[in-house]
Order: sequence, then structure tokens, then C-alpha cells
Amino acid sequence: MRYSSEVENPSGATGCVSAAVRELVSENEAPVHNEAPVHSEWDGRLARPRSLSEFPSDRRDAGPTGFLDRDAGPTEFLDRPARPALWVAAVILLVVAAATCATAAEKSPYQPAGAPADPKVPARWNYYRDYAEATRLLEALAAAHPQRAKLASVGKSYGGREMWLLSITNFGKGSDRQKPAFMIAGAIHANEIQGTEVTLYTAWYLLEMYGRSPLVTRLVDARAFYLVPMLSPDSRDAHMYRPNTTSSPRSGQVPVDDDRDGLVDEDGPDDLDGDGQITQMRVRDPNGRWKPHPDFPNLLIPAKDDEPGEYRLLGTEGYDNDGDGRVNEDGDGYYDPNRDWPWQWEPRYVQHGAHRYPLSLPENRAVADFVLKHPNIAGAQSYHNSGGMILRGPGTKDERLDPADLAVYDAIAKKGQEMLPGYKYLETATGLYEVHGGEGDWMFVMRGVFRFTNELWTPLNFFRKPAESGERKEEAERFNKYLLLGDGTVPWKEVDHPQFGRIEVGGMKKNWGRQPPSFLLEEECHRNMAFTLYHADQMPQVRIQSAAAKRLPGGLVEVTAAVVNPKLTPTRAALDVTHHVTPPDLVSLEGKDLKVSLGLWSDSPFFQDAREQKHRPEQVRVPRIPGMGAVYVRWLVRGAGPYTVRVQSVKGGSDRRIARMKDEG
Amino acid sequence: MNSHRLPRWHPAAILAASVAVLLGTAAQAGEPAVKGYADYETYRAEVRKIAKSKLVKLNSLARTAGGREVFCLEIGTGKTDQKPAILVVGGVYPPHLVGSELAVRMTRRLVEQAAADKQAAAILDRLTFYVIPRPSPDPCEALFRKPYAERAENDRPMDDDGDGAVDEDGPDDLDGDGWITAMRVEDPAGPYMAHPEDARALVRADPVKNQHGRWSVYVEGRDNDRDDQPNEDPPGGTAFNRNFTFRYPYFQRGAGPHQVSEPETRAVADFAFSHPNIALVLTFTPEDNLMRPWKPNPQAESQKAKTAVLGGDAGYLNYVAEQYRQIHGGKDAPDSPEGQGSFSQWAYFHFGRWSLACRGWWIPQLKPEEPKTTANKPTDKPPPKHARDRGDGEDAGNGQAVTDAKAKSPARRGRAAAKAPAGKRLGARAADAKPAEDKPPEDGRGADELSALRWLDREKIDGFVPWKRIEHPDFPGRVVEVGGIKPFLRLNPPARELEPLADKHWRFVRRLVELLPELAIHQSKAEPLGGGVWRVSATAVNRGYLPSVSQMGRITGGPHPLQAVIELPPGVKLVTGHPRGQLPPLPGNGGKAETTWLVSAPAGKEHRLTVHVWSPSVGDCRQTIVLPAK
Repeated sequence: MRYSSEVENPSGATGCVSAAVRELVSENEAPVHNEAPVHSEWDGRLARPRSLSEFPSDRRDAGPTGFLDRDAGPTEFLDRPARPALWVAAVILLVVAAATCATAAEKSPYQPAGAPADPKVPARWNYYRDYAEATRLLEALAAAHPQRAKLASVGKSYGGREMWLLSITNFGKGSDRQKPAFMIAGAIHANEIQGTEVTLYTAWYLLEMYGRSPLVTRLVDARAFYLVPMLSPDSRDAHMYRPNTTSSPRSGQVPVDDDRDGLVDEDGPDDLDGDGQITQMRVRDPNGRWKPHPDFPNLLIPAKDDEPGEYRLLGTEGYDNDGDGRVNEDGDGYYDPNRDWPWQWEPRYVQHGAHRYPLSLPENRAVADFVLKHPNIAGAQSYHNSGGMILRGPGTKDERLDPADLAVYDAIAKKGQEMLPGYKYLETATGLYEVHGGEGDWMFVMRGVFRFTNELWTPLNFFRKPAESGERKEEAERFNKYLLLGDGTVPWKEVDHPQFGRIEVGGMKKNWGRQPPSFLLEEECHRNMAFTLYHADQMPQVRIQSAAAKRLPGGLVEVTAAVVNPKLTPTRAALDVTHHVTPPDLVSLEGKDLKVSLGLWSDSPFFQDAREQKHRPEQVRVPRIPGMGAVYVRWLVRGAGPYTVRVQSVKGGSDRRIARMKDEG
Repeated sequence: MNSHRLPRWHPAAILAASVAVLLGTAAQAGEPAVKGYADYETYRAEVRKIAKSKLVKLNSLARTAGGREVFCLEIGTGKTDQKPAILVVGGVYPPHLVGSELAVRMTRRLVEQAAADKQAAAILDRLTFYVIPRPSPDPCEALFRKPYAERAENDRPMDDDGDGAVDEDGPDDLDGDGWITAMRVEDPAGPYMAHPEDARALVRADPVKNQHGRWSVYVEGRDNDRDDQPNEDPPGGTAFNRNFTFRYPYFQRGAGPHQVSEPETRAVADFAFSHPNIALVLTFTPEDNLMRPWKPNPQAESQKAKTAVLGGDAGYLNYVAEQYRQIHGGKDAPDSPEGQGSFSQWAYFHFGRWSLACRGWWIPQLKPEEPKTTANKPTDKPPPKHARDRGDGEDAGNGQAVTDAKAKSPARRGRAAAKAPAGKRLGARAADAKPAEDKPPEDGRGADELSALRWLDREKIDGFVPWKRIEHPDFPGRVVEVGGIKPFLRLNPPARELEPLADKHWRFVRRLVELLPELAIHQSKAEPLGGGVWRVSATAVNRGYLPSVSQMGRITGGPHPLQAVIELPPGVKLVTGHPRGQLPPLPGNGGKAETTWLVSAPAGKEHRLTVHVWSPSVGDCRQTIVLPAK
């Protein structure tokens, strides 16, 4: 058997393997004890707390494709009682199977362009994994590629699920911490489920294409990748296993008394018809302003201004659980995990969805602590849905980017728009809406990381032509009718409602609306991954282009080095330099018994406007090395060579070179 | 404290200073200034002793990086978390030890009197107290071991200047006297000169008035990492009182990597949020708003994010502040620091509660010609800014002027763009920008400092370290002198003042308790409408002074609204109305709101309904309404 069948087995079989590869990263320095419970409310009436066990975690993959099935053959036959004819047949089959196996082992399969046909870890990309399955895939990847992948948990979610982080780099060519690193995080809004698959796909691709693709090989050798597929794992399982819409739960599962009535999470949506979906409620009403679409009877559209309607919409499926006259006013959470980050954080009354204070949510805190401890992260990507956008900050209208930083974003995003047809490059505050406390803005402004947010799934995916703005709904319905064969919606049907009486429920299923159907998911994964690989390749990479030593009269030696960064991204963003997020880049002269008397650096190879560093000139601190740029450093030194020039950049990597001695004159 | 002003040394002054020093030293052997104040071990013992009472529950909310506990005392009876509560917090600015002391001593009075006195015990029937006397215990210890320094940052190691090294350049006791004071370096371009009236003090020279500066002033220390910035990366850490979310000072030293980053701040914030019964927060801190009440800003009020006290709340806070001023009796309190990221401002603007904050004590203003009396009459002009704002919102205590260090250091502090073109650069928050304090107060220049020196002299406190020349390796061949007012003394009174101060503040708390909202069900009735249908109504009223919630509380949505719930016996059904609903906020002194339900009850027997009106931070009332059989 060539392939690990770990993906197939329930967690028991992989347990021992996962224990070996898993390392727990400690989060906070100081443990907090006697902490007041997060959710205790005044009169003690808590909603029933949900535990991990409520979410079934033993769903199994339907099975891999390819060789594994065919190779299952021989063992079956050995167990049966034999009869002579069957014996002969058995032997023949055995020989044939063995031959197939043997030839299979020698013969390489036909590879399509794109992903490998024969990966070590088989994986399908036309469905959505729950927390347990995603975990199994991560464990399988780490087990199959130990020289290039390490799986760790950065902490636990509120519900006790591990926050998985897969580190990918060629550990044989240096630790991840010493390389510029790219961080990818998916589904901070748990209902935006495809973000997780894109992240998993990226991990799988980087590991499986190593050695097959020169670009992937080069990236994995020289960079590190930190992949967090599920930023909100509790709500991922909640979306999949509890009645929800395509838009819920956006929140995590920390209980919040949204209506401040002393009861917590007591009045969420209710699945009145028990179909596992939260749809819409309507009732026939001649005074209502809605009517069915003539071509798509399931779709409700507004009646014309002077036309009577037929239905009244009653809101999302549910009833008044707590007797206060309001329906569904206190469900999961509510808070928005992407309003929980420090930069420009504002409380809930200014920014809807904020929680208590930045990083008050355990999932975010765990990831933020990891980021704080890994200043080598130079680029990042996060996945949301929907709409087809490539977003960057600022998140608020009163801020502007430094032009140098803006140019980096523009250059990378322009490529992205090409790779992702239908995706528009936008600034969050002016192109989408203002966001206070978004993860991306914190990463960029307070961690110096160039970061994009992609809103996945664009309507261009329906028929590959942009629809008129007034016809978007119809276009989606046509797609549902002809391509999904009606699978995206629930027909309206009657139910009894405790307060409203006999009404109808119906509408879109939770697996339709914001996420691709099965046959379009893999494309979404690959295109977005390709964009991130382009960006990752453009992270800084410092290199000593030249280092020369020249003897001067009086016994002094002048050593001059040119340090380049032939990538779009500078070693430090302009903001990073302003706010001292990371230390300056260091260009040092090293050698035995050297006495450095002068250290200069300049942006110009002719040392115009050179700046002298008086203290410790042997270790020149350079504010940054620009993207597609260079800095030049010169020392005057006494002492015999060799003179080694070394550059160390927290986000740009490092390099070392011995200066070549030039002849005098 | 905005300047150092020091005199030329007159022999008489030297003699006087020496005598003062000797007297001071003789009077209080050991550690003069901190005697009578509790270090962590003493404080912990005191807190445990108070907690022996059965009225008290002692919790530890967190353990700091330095291994110390953040204690919270809960004082109350019965179901304490279901009664409105006052949260008292001391020591948010750790060198302000008097704050921690007042919180502890006040708690002791509460507990002793509630055990002995019926009136005091009645307070605890109605209210609960949560007291956190020392939320950031690590930096306090810097005042109990040499060299004594005014330190606000906790024990978490931090690279403050972003150079890759951690805590590598802190202050140093160059003159070996056991105190970190100030040092001045002779510099013809220096901005400071000796104060003409008292050469011990330094004041900014005004070139327009043809005054020549002579000194540059720094915190006592060396530039240990030789990066041209002295003492820019001291030991620690994050300052508790700059780590909160309101007007958080991004990127400034001591503010931490981000808001609420420390175990101490997180624990206190989580405690507050998980106790919705907290109605009011009383903080002992330099960001006083009782002696110097907050002023509303009508223009700012129309902004979405509120940055000034709301007009609807200011009047109430002023009234309460007036009560405080009457009880306290002090005058000429110093200005409050900006308070960016401070706890007490967070308590009002983000936590949404009434927030009262006071220093407790300050050095009284002394005029030169009245050495024996405390200045009772206000000065003609407002006193100059006492609290030297380093652009990072913190009271610099003894005025260790870091202005020059700030001017030289490339924007580690107060970087929030002074030079913003149209639209700020990303990362700059103009609202928080505080340009360097450049204009000297006119004639009142240095008046604070002089007054402080006079007071120290009068009280015979060895509070001033005379300027003494030292050899400083960073300034070879130049005149460098170490001296200045000792840290701690600007903020903290002699220990003998602590009990009288605690009495005053306890009296204020008793007055405060009388001003809280008081919920009652004023009227309830049941009117028969025939056919077994009754209109049941109840009116909730607030008989207390303060409204049931502040306007800011309403906006933030922090405190829980008032709820009215009707509990029906079997057989009685609701015809219209919902069994539970919310009431609007109730103004004080009689604000009321009525709820009505229509119920149908079978005739022929009596029915007893209960109306329950409550909010955790306001009160809890029940009233039974009887539907008679007939």
C-alpha cells in the first residue's frame, strides 16, 4: 500500500500519530486564576451551555479515489474456504493483482496540470469538512510530510476545540522563525465556510507539490507558511449541524446576553419545520408588499408601487422563546470576531459586533499571541465571503496609507484581479464599509504585515458574464434551477407558529448563497491559493549583492556592501518604521579582532546623503530596505580579514557573505 | 509638573537644606518617605485580616507577571451579586499609593461599622461593594526597595524602544542616594533655567523675554545601550492605567502591545463586565473628576464616538462632585492628567457606569508670604498645569521632565501626527495628538514647584535632593548635577494623614450611597373590565437622586435596562401584553414608568399575581396584586 489510509479512520487510529506530531504552544505568560466566569449573569439563569459532545465528530470521508480502491484486492481472498476451481481463480487473480500493483508502483500516473493525481494524502475538494474532518486532514498532512510540516495548537476555542496552526517550510533548510513567513487564516466568520477549504487546499498543495513544482519547492525552502484553517471552529460545527442560514453563525459561541434581560442566548432562531435549515417566514396577506416572481415561484419580490401584494414577510424562522414580544433577539453570541482586534477598536455602540475589549475572545487571543511571538510574518491573507473582493485597509475613513506602502498593495492586488476574475480590489473603508477593530488593520498597522482579505465567491461564477444590477437575484435563481437542479432552495410550505398561527416557511438553504457549490469549490480554492503564492513570493528577501574590501593608506580597510531586496515588499512597511513595530535591519561587519571606526549607510551607491552611525558602527542599523531596492553600507576597519558582511532582517530573512579583497589603486 | 527650576546655590540655602535633610533623616530612620505605607506583603496581610469578617469574601482575580495577586474584596450580605454595587478601585497609578491605602482603610471602616452599627449595616442590605485596592501591585514595590523610583509599568519585560533588546536602558541611581530623581546637564542651548525665586526649581527660559536657558533635564540615569536615548527602555512593562480601551495611546511607552493586554487589566475588565450589578465606579487616581469635574462639549456630542462627558450626565456628576468637595474641604487641586487609556475614563465612556475619580490628597498650594497656613483663597489665576503631561497622559509625579528626551527620541512618544496633511497618515490619531507643551505659563511659571518646595520645607520633610555635581560618563567634561524632588512625595501625604483622609472619604461614600437610585413599585392596581378580564398595572418609580442609568450607560448598552415581569398563578392568562418587557430609564427624584397587562381570570376565587421590577444595577422590587374573588 502506497498511501496512508489515515484519512479514512475515525480519530482513534490517528490518535497516536497526532500525539507525536502535535505540540502545544503556550499562550499567555501569566495564568489567570479565580477569574470571574465570562458569562455569569445576574440572576443565574444561563442558557444551557453547549459542549463539544453535541457536535458529532465522527463523520467520515466518503473515501478516496484512485489507486487505493484497486489495491484493496488481495487480502480478501485469503480468508475464504478454498475449493479447487476457486483456488485456481484465486491464484490467477493474485498474480494479476500483484502485477498490477507492481506495474502501478513503477508507472507514474498521467498528471493533469494543477494538482497532483497521486498525492501522498488523498483529498477531495468538492465538499466542506467539519472540525473533525479538517483536523484529520491536517494530521494526515503533518504525518505524511514531517520534514516540511508541523501541526500545533495555539490554544483552545471557547468550546474546547484546538486552534490548529500548520507550519510549512523545509525545516532542513532552516527554522521557520528565520524565514519571512506568510500567514493564512480562514473563516473568522464561521459561516463563511469555504475559507477553511481554501486554507486546507493551500496546505495540501504546498506539501504535495513540493518537489514537483519548482516554484512551490523554492517557496517552501525559502519561506515559512503559517496556516490557520478555522479561526472559529465552534461555530463551524454549529453552522453545519444546527439549523442555520448561509449567514449564520457569524458569531462565535461565547454566550452573550444580547437583550440584557438576565437570560443568555435564550431566544435564537427556531427550525419550525425541522428541515435543518433556518429559512424565512411569510404569511398570505393582501396588505403585504411581496409577491412571487413570475418565473421563479419560490422567490419573493416586492410588489410594484401601485400594485397590491400577496405576502407579508415575517422575518427569519423562529418564535418568541422568552415571552418578551421579540423574536430571535438573543441567539448565538452575538459578537463579530472580526471586530475584536486592537487597531481602532471601538465599543459596540460605535462598532456593531464589538465584544468587551480587543482580543477578549479566546480564539482571537490565541492567534494574536502567536502573531506577536512571530514577528517574521511579513505577508498574510484572510478568507471571508462573499462578493468577490480583494480588500486592504484602512478600515476607517479618516486614515490614509503611506504612498510607498500603498504602491506595494496596488502591485500585488493588480495581479490578484487578473487571477481572480470577478474580484475587485477595494479599500475597506471607502469601498466596502468602515470596520473598527478588524484583524487586517491590526496585522498591518500594529504588526507591520502586508495583508489582504478576500471575499470569496463572486456572482461572475454563475454564467461568467456580469449580470445587470437589477437582475442578480434572477441570475442566482436561474443558476439554482438549471445548474443546481433546484437543490439550493426549500419550497415554501405551511407550518404552525406559536404566535402568528398558520404561516409558511421556505427560502434558501444554508449551503447556498455565499459558498460555492461542490463543482466550483476547487477552482475557488486554487485561484485564491495562487494569489497568495504570488504575494508570498513577493515578501522581502534580503541578499548581499556585493561585498568588497579595499585597502586604504594608514592601515585602514574600507569594506562596502550592497544589500538588495528584489521583491515588491520592503523589509519594513513605512508604518512599521514609524511605530517601531520591528527593530531595524542590521548590516554587520564580522571578523576576528576587527576594530571598526566608521559605519555609514546610504540609499545611494555613491553614498550621497550617507548617514553615520556613531555607536557600535560594526552593526549598522538600517531603517528598512525598500521593495525592489537596495541599501549600501560602508565601514572603515582595522584588522586582518576575512571580513564577513551579514544582514539580518526580522521580516526579510538574512544573508552572509565574505567581502572580496580588491587590489589597491 | 512642567519644569524643573533650581536656584543657584546660596550658602544659606545649602545650610538650610542640610539641616532639613538631617532633621528629616533623624526623624524617620530606615526608609523615610515610604514609612507607614504598605508594601505588597503588608498589604496582603491587611486584606486577609479584613476578609476574616463574614461580611467579606476575598477573591484573587489574577496573578501578575511578578507573581503577585490582584485581590478583590466583596463586601455584602445575602445574594451579593443581585444587589446594585459600587466598585471601588485604588492604586490604578501604582506610585499613587495613597489610593491603595484609602481603598483599604475605607473598606475596613465599612466592615467594622456594618458589623457594629445598624445604619451602616442597612447599607449592605441594599448594596454590595467590590473593592480592588491594588490592581497593579508589581510597580508599587519600586517604592519599597532601592533605588526608589516612580514606576507605573508592571513586571512584564518589554522592548519599549523597538531595538530588539528588552529592558536594557532604565534609570540609574547615579548619586547613590537610593532615589531616582532628575539630572540636569549644563547646555547653553538647554531650555531650562533656575527659577529666580527658588534656585532649587527649574523653569523654562523664555527667549522672547531675553531669558537664557542653561540646563537640559533628564531622568537620572545613563544611556545604557548608547543609542542617544537615555533611559528609554526601563524595566517593565505595561502601565495598568494606560492599558484600557478609551482613547488608548497606541504605540506609546507603557501602553502595552495593545489594549487590555495584561493579566491585571484583563482580570479587572472581565470582573467588571461579568458583574452587571455594578452601578458606579469610584477610583482613587490622579485623573480626578471630583475636584475638577469633566466639562461637556456640545459640539463633540454629535459625534458617534463620545469623547467628552455628555451634557445629560454632567449635571449629576457635578452635584456629586460638589458633595465631595464639601466633605473633603481641599482647595486648588492640581489639573488632572489627560488620562488616555485610563481606567476611570474607561469606566464612564466604555463600561457605561457613573464614574467618580479623585486623588484623595495633593500638596496644598502655599503662597510665599503665608508659610504657616494652607492657601485657603484661590489664586488669582488658575494654577499652571501641575501634572506634566509627557504627551502620554501620565502624571510625571515629581516632574521628572522627559521633555528633552522626548524631543530627541524619534517619535516613540506622542507620535500621533502633528504634521498631518489632509487626511491623516494611517496610524495617526489626531484626536489623541498632544503637541509638546511649549508655552510657559506667564507669571505663574513654576508656581507649583515652588509651592511644593515650600510645603516640604514647612512640613520638614526631607523631600528635596539638592543638586549635586557628578561625573557622568555620557557627558564627559560637562557639568551634570543630580537632584530634584523625590518621587512619591508629590502624590502621597505623610503617613499620619492617611487615617484622617480615610475618614473623609468614608464620609463621602456614605453620602454617595444616599444619592444612588432607589427603585420602588409606587402604585399597583387591578381594574375589572368585566367578563373576567382585568387591567393590571404597576408603576415603577425611582426615588433616589441619580437616574437609573447614565446617558452614557444608555448609549453603550452596558447596564441592564429595567425589566417588568408579571408572574401569573395557574388559571390566569394574559390577554394582551407580554409577560416580560423592558421599562425606559427612570430619571431621579420621582421618575416613573407604568406597565399594563390585560389578564383574564376565572371568577369565583381570588388570584394573586406578582409584578417583579428589577435591574441588577438599580434595584429589585416585587409587589403582589390581588384580584378579588368578587
